[in-house]
Amino acid sequence: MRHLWTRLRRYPALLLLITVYVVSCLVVGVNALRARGGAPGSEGKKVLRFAHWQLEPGIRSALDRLIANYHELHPDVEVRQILIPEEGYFRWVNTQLIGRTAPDMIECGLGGTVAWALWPKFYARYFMPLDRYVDEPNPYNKGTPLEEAPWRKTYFDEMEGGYDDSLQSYYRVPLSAFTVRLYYNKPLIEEVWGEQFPQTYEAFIELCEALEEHGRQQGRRLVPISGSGYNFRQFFDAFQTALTADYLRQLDRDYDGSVSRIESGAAIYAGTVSMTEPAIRANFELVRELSEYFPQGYMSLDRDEAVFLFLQGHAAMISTGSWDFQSLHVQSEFEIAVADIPLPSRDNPRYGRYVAGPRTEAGLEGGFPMAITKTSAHPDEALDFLQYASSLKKNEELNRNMFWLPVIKGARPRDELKPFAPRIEGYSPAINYEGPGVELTYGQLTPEFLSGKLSYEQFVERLMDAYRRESAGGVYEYVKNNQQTLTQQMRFAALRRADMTGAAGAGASVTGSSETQYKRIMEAYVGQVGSYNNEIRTWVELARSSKADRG
Amino acid sequence: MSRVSEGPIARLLKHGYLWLMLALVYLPFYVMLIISFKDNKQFYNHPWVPTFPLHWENWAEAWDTVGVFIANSVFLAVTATLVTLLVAVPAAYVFGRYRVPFGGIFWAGLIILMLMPGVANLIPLFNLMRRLSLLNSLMGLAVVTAAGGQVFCLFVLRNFVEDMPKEFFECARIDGASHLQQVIHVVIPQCGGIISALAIMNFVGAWNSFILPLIVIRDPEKLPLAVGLFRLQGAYVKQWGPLMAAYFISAIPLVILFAFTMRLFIRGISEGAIKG
Repeated sequence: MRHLWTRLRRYPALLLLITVYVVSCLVVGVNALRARGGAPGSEGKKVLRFAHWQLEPGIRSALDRLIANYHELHPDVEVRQILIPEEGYFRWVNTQLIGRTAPDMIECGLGGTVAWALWPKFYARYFMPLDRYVDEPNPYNKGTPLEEAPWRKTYFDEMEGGYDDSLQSYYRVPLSAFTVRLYYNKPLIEEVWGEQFPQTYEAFIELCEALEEHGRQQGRRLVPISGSGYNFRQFFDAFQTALTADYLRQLDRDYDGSVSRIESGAAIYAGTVSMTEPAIRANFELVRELSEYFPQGYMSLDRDEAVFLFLQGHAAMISTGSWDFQSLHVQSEFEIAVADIPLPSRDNPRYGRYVAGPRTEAGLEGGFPMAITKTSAHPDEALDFLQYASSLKKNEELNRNMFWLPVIKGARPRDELKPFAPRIEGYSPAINYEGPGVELTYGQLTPEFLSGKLSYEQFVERLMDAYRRESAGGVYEYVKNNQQTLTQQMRFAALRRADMTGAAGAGASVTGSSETQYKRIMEAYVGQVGSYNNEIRTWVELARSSKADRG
Repeated sequence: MSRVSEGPIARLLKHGYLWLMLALVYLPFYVMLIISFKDNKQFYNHPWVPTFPLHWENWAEAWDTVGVFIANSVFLAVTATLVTLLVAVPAAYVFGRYRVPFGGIFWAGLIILMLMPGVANLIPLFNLMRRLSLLNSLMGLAVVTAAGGQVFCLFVLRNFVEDMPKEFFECARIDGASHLQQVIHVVIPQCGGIISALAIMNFVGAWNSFILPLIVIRDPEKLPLAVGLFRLQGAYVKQWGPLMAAYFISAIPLVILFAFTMRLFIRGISEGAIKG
């Protein structure tokens, strides 16, 4: 022993490591023992876990308050938050669901393009359908005007945000809503421009010029609009809808009231809608004009960098969603106000004749959606907790604490959030330049055009090259994915019918209401097949006519 | 040539260059330290210079958050490194010294494992861990980390053992040494440098591992540092002060480790670089 000590003394690093390791083992051991015994005070309780990626202290504490209130009503239930960083969220959810170790409730929806496509499959396999409950009143609305209303009817969007079209079922319980607006540095804008924020695009451009001039006079860096690839997209969408809304009638070939990517892509590919048409050209030129007032190289900046620039006072405005409201207000040293993104007036010589109006938010759906997993040990309690969170009083309280918009009819948002109230009037997006297969090329060419590296003619030429080269493959992918979805939907409908029959007892006939539900699913399925066939027919017809034209 | 290098201008240039390099290396530390004492408003307005009042509470908050994570990470990294080496050194001795039936196939299998991207294995690995009841356990995570780490160790160590003179082993056997004694008295002293380098690399790898602990560990009090640090990040707003204080605290153990083991690490990676 003495010999060992003499040797160890010659290696102080090893000694230090051994000491730290022993201490760590003790800490880990104590924690493991505690975990085995459960959290203090949780003995004999039903533990509900819900996972989400809203890691901000404000959101966390608002949810903690909701949980504490729920706990007062239900002392036998303990609700715990599992906070997963956004970066690893989808991977985490994926493995937990497949491994059947998922928590009771999961926030759904995040994960990039591929993952978005995967969610419906996840719902069918791993989440509990809520159809049985959405037509019943929410018990926590007792004593409110919504007392008698079915749960889904208590939502401002009638729970559309919780409905999955491809599976024809309700799976999610949305808790908040979000819209996008323009935030601005109020004292700075008042100093440079005046109290009234510009109402038209022309005045807005004048304001941007004035801000640049102001920066020059003061000898400091001042960018009119802070932006990044993330923020810019929201700007672009607002103007794209405003200037190209009239294409709806021309592009909606199946008359379902919206233009799909296939319908839009087919028209551009076949040349029935040309990228050189004045309205489309005006759309791109307007956006390029605005790009002049964004920071240099903004498309490669990330969201944090754009916020940083705005909060430092180096940018006067930023376009982002209501989800950023609290963070921007808490962190800024100046007063922040909110305005709509101004559109060109009808008498604008370059853009006026194409302007239809603002983009409508009538189709806004509830966000921050939670779904109950099939592996939950306490599905009834999980449902009860979500009903509690989506009751009139509690949803209002939760969202007031989070500084987000509530989703329940009659729930009042904070006064500061009133500018974010959804705009009912307006126009729907009518054209999508990213046809099937050309998304990547479009994403690469747009920054080059906006930064002035490409002229509009060069941009169009390269985009159309991509259409000719890539769209056949894109359509093939689309067909393949749709076939998979439809097959899955068919299987799902059959499974549900089997469930219904099973529930009624072996050999018993399917009950009337179950049969109606099955018929509803099948009708929706047939409708989707029809819509899908129409889209493909559109593509084939337009592609043929285009080939015939070329000779 | 020697006169030029000893001149005052040359010396000034040399020292200036070294100071510049040092400044570049220490810049991230400076930034971390400065920001760790700020609230978000101070950070947004004056990110690069010290501002007052100093927010010492950031450090308290950071320590409260990462203190237990550091203990978990030390446990995970040291256990994983020990298990890795305990398995890899004797295995390298066998692969390097003996020709066994199907040895080539075993070896090829190991190399294929090294080429497999870890993320591709994630779901099968997760399922395997669930069946073995290793989920939400730091010990289980250490075992899986060790299993992943030993492949590279074995790949490197085998070549070192193979290159060792046979006479060493023959002498040991004549003196009556068993296989284990040959490993302890011949392989480990002769490969000490590279074993140390591999130990450090494994330690750092386990210390920084993110995806596997994120998925495997459920209880917050069992999270290792890399995942725990992400808890301080928000999806929409980051509290930069506590975040930087936590980064600083979490860097300290690695700095200490490198300060003490630099000599071994350099010796390990330069071993075999000179012929003869």
